[in-house]
Amino acid sequence: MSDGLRIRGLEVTFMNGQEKVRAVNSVDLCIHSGEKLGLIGETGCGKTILGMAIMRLLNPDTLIRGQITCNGTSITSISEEEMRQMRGREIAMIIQQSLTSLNPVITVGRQIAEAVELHQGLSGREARAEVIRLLSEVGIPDPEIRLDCYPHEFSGGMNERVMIAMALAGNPSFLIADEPTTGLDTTVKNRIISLLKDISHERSMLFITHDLAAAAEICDRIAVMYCGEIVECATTEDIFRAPLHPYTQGLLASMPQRGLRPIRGTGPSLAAVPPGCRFCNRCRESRDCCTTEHPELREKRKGHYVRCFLYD
Amino acid sequence: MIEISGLNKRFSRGRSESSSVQAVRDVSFSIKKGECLGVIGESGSGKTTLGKLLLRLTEPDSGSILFEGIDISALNRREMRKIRQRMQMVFQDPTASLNPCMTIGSALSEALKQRGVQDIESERLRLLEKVGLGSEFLRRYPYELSGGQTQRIVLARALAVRPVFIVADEPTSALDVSVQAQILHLMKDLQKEYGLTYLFISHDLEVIRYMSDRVAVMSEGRIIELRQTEEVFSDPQHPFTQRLISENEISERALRKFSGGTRDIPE
Repeated sequence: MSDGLRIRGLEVTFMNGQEKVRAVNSVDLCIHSGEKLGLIGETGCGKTILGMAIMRLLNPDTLIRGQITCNGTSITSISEEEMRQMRGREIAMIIQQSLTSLNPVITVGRQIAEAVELHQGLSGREARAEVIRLLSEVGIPDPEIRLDCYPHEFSGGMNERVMIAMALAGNPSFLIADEPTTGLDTTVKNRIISLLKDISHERSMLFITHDLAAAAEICDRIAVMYCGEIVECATTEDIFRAPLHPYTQGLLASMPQRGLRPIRGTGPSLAAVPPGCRFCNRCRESRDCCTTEHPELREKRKGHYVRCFLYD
Repeated sequence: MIEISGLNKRFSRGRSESSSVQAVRDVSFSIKKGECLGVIGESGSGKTTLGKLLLRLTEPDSGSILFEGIDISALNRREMRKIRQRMQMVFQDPTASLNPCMTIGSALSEALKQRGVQDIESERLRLLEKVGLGSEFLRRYPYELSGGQTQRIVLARALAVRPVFIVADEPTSALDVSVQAQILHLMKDLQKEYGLTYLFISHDLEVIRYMSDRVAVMSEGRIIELRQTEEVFSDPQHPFTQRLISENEISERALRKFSGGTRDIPE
């Protein structure tokens, strides 16, 4: 069964001493089978936390409410053992920062082989052959030699490919890619993007990034996150051509290609979010109601959702 | 302002001569006062090493560096320390550039004492104001700041010694686009106000295009093209530059397809 990923009313709350910090607030998202959804927003807005919540990789004392289903299975209610069966096979994550995520004292081939042995039950020569196949699938030249290299012998782009190969080891139908192009130069970035397009051809993908150009290239739809909430969600074309939320408009305008006009001020801390709209202190269009009432995410046009009183 | 010629730097890896890397090869150029020279190139092309050589944070193997007419490559440590106050470097990772155990206030005081400032209190506040931050930041520690705020503090501390020349090594590549826009505007404003000269290193061609008067293109330690910014973008000469520009266009392709949509937001 393959009906994609559904998230309903997701809330993720951390306990920071006695203080509650809600990093993700009432998120509703749906990623259809085969669809590529971009999740964009600034550092600290909760993008990675949302990805980790889907993978159930957050600390056990984190409070999680809401429903996440993947291909019909409820991720939020299955046992840890059942979840372990899903991770890697149904749903895999390409974790941020390849160099620090790889073990520096184990060869890349061995690290990928671990995933291959676990997910496909292969061992010895068969596992090695599968590692070579995966390395060549992600575009590493001379894979039969390269698999004996250590991460420090690889460039940033090559390590990113290794991370992608590990995620593919269990042949998952759903991929979460967390900032896979950050820190790479343009040439390498373009190659990683085209690789991601290739491997996600018959898969669904949640593409977490703050690189708007990369999101435009890869994604069918884009969700914009601000301070723990989705503030806008629409097709990639609508987000770039006709953004509705003032934050999305500001984000686009701050790109060097679009005039480099910054959004004034800084966002609120997640520990002290205002009662009204979370963007209102930086918004040029804010009205009285924005400081007191909290806007809901509403469908403004067909398939175009926005959380803003301007459109009520 | 700055004139370098025949600059070379080789790093050895392991013992054998053959495994060494020539990070900077026979580089010569000059930067005029108040100018911003952008440096582009792929990772590992020698951009950062070049920046460090200019400040002698890395010692060159050969070549000369004239700074305001003085050959700094021949100066001893004490003389160099004096002159280094007039040049500063801003690094890619702002958090790694500050002492985590030191409040912002004491980090700024340390730099101001270096310059021999008497009225440290008011000068600290003036510096914070220059980079758009309030006095409440004096008591904070680096971990309490966001990436953008940290980079502002790093700029304030660099300005504390009244430099005339700043090497900025990927100062915004760790920041979000919206914060990047703020920092780039700030750097341009500061440049105008203090008449600063920049060597601005980045692999983001769009950022370089915005900041620089001229652009130097580096590949395998050499400068292969150095011209006015718009010329490099509209009419790249060297095949490698042409490739960089076309890669940049590929990465912009999807964005261009979805042009428009940015309503005019007043400054």
